[in-house]
Amino acid sequence: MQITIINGGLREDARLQSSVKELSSELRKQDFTIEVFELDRLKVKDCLGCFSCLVRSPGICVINDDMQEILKSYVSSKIVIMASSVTVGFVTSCLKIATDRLLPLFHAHLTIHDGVFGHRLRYAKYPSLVLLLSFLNDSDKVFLEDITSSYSRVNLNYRKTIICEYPIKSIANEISNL
Amino acid sequence: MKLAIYNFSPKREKSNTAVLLNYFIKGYVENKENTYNLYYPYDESHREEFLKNIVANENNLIAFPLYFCSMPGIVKRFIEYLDELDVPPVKPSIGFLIQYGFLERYHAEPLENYLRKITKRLKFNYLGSIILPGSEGVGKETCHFAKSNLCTTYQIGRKFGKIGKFDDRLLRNICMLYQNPLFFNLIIKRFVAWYVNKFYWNELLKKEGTLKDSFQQPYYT
Repeated sequence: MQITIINGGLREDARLQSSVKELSSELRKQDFTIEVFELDRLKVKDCLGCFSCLVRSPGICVINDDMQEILKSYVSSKIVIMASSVTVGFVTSCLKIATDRLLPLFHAHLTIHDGVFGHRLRYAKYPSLVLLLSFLNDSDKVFLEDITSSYSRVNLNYRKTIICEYPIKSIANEISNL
Repeated sequence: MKLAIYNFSPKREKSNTAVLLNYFIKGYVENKENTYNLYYPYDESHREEFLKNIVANENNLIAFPLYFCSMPGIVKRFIEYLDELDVPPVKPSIGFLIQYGFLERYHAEPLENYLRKITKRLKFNYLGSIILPGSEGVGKETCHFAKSNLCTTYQIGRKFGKIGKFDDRLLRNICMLYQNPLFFNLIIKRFVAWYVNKFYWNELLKKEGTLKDSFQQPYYT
């Protein structure tokens, strides 16, 4: 079974970077296939807001960059881990840009999900989405609820947020039990 | 009063954000002493200009579409730049205008909380957030949601032009009808979804000749 890790953390965030490495090897030991995308080494451009992925070429993003590979890996995974340093109270801009580019995973049609409007899902199954966050400043922890709420309100099968403070083995077990 | 407006929509002048901003501006300049500058910062090259302007103006309005219940990545990037700034002792003010298609305020609630807290953390005054649900196709000015949003945005701009603040009552009134669970219940929502799918999205898909293939799953390998 496949797990995709989209790492949008800062290069200088040693705690997050070592957590991603250790978590990958721990999950490999548990027989998962791990694909890691290091966003700071990839070319992922801003979403154009053109809605082509909804209308002109349904399901396909017209921007031909590294996000194409991330989208393929995303839909083939059992679990997706979005890893990020928390900078200025939110996930990094590069992880947010990658998140914005997930729009092709939705159909144009509206549906009602948990009582509110959302776009209809394009694929039959979606991976469980986990946020792995590293707080560079303790004072940023007041934003945890806002980050979690933003991701959980999108119909992307969000499951949980894990803070990079716990032992890697317990994080890996939590993730593999999803 | 001096106001700098930053439209972060990638569609720039052709965006729903731009249409709504035009109505805000129309109200704001009714007070003849008011002036404004409109900017379209859309990549790194606008970083210096953005940072210079945001401290040079007593009031700033940052406008953008809602992406995934939050700000677009590019807006987050510019908020990261603000963290590097030395804010002058006379703090400039920042307000936000956020528009999106869904009809509930629910989608923007976490963002509103975030923007309120982060603006203060960055040592700016927080003017407030103009949250505009139901703004898809606002440029057509024909549907009820569009007219209501345009009218309220104009009124918020006019009041802001007079008193230098966003009027709380007007901010709360936006799409009030759709926040009423008795009126806007699940049955009505289902009808709205059916109507929008049939007469808006399907028409767009037909026009592009993609209706039949619209459920394809191209990223499955």
